[in-house]
Amino acid sequence: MSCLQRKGIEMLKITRYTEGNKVNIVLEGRLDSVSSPDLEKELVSVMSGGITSVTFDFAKLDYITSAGLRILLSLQQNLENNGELKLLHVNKDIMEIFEMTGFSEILTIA
Amino acid sequence: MIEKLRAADALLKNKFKKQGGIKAKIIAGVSILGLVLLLVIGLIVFFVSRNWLLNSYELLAYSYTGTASKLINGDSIAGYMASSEKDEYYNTVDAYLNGALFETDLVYFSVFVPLEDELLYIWDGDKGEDLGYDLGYREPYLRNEKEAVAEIYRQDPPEHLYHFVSEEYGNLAVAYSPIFNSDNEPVAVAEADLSLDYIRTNLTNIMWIITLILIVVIGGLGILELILTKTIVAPIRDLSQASVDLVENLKNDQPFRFDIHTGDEIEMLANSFEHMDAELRAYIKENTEITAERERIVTELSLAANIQKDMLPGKFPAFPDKTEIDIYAAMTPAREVGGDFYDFFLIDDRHIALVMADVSGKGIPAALFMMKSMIMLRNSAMSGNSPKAVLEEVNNELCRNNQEKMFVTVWFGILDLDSGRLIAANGGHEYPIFRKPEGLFELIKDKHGFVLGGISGMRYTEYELQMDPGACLFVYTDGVPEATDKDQNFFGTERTVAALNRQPAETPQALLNNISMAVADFVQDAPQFDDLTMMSVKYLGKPERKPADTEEQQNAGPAGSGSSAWQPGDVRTAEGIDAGKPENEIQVAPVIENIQTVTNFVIDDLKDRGCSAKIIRSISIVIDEIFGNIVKHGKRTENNPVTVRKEFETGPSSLVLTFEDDNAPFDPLAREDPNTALPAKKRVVGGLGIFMVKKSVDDIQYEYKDGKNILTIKKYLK
Repeated sequence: MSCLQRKGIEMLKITRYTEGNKVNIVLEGRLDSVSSPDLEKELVSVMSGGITSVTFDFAKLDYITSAGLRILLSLQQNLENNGELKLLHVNKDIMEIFEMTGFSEILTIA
Repeated sequence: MIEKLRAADALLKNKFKKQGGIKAKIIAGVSILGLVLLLVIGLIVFFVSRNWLLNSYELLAYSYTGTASKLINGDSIAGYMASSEKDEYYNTVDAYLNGALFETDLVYFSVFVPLEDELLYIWDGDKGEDLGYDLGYREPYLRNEKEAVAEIYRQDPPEHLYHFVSEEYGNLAVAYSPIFNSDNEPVAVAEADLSLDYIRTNLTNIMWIITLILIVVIGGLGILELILTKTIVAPIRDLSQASVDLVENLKNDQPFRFDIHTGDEIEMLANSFEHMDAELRAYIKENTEITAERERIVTELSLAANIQKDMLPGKFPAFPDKTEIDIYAAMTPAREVGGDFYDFFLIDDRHIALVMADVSGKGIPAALFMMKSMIMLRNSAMSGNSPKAVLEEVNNELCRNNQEKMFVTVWFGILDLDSGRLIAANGGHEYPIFRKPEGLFELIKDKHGFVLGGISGMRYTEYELQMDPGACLFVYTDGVPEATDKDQNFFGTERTVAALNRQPAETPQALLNNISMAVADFVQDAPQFDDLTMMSVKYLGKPERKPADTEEQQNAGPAGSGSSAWQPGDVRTAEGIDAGKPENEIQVAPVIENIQTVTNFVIDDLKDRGCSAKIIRSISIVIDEIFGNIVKHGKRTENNPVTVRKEFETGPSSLVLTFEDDNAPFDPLAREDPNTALPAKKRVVGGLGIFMVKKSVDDIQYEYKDGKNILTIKKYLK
């Protein structure tokens, strides 16, 4: 990660708000192969706290690659039975990707 | 040693059980002796007594019959036979006969006339009860009596007892004496009888007395045996027990106790035992100390061996970043510590020193001298001396303070990594073996100086060998050519060269392996006498690419200067491949972080051309997916860079991106598209990336060519 730090670019900024067993995550930047490990780490700590409701705010998310899709799919499978996963403020381009890949049917997109 | 004592003792105990020991021997001996005595003495006494008795009885009986024969008037016999009248003379004789019976043991005393078939009694004595036969009584002969009478019925008859057995009278011993008339004719017989039964009774009494005496004797012997047992056997048994205890006490470390005070040889023996015990303890103590000491030495020896082993450079590949050479070395010691050594080290950035050496002797002295030599050689080389100067300087140092007169043979070389020029000097060491590129190995008979540590002030000669890329040097110690098989044949330098030439182009490690195997095949089961030490250096030449002068390059990671390893963030641009377009190709290390680098490489141009944000996003995703796949599928140990090429076409305006990598052939387009209609539970992410790429670009091609995966995508920019 050193070269990224040298360039002073943050690929992805993750902000988390927790209310009881609900969590609200705001993403800013892009969710790709380089930044998805960071989100994964964040989610591991979230899910270990017994969270049942996760809401993503994609308002400031630039784009998402298959690495990001993997995280969403895993989260969706996890929460499908006894929880919920919601995506908010998905932009047009990302929506196109969701539709292209069939993820628009799997995820709850508001 | 204790075990031996125990074993011997056990053996004895077994014997003891079988033979029963001294006590049993004594008892047996005494019993047999007693029986034999009893028998022999008894028999002797019996027979002697009997004869004596019989003799005396015979004497007695015949003295009476003899007297009767002389005294009795034979002429009167006829008268008594005819008239049966008892006169005074008759009564006198009768009284005499009775008297004799009273006074002696005679049972019968009589006088009779022997007739044809019977006896005619004249007189028959009795013991006063008037039981004797009366005058004129006739009685038949006893069996054989007639013959007996016939024998004595004469002048000078024999005088011995006759034995008769009859129902009436029992066992009789009879004496007969003839009575003569005045004409000296026998007319009657005087008879005196003794009862043999009576004799037997007497004998029996005697026997009893004898037996009693013998029993007393035996009893006495028994007491003797007891005494013997007490004074000899018991102490001996004590001694034997003590010797067993001695062993046990030694084992349990208890003091020796011995209570034998018999005041004789046995006590002396006991004292000897005590002495022996003391000596044993001392011996065992000493032995234990010696063994402990020896074990300590063995441990120290193996530790010393480790220290020595660690001194030889043993990590391979030795200089991963110096791709000019491939070097490999190995040392197999014959004993735990040996005297052979090799060494190699960088003197400076472009020179490497090579050492192959053999110290005289083996074991710890050789090891110590070896370490001394090794350090001296290093120091001398690092101070910038040429091989000749190194050997001269080290030789002089070794000659100083060399009381033990040890020496070392050394081959020393310095290789210039840039030019491949090798300068070397030889101090009494084996000839090096050298191969020119594309050639075969040959023995180089270099000029030998004297061994180091022998004579101070020796001069050495250095020579030059040019190593072009592909050339290979092999140096070794005499352990290789002097390896012997069981018939004392040497492996020899010729076989060494031949073994190298089996695969002359191989890597140094493979060459050393080939030699090891060839030596092992040759030697087979014969023991290894000498250390096996070898080193091989192959010159590969300078790397082809020169490092670029970009900012990233100077900021690159901690590799040494001149390194050609790829670092994350390394960006190198090739001299323009595409006509007129500089910097349309980059090479980056296949690491995830370089997605950013490649993306920037492409997007900067797109921004310049005023492409829409959507297109920019789309291409960003494409680069992420494709490059990400290449990183994922590549072998992480290789540093082969990925080449990314960008081309902008017109009519219509489009971007062509090419990705080239060295991984194993992999066609991403061969994969089936994922089923996007499946519910979440059944979805997998695999194949999604390339699917997204396919959907985002207008054309996508793959080919595998010249050992490279080449993926080309084309996207319209409007």
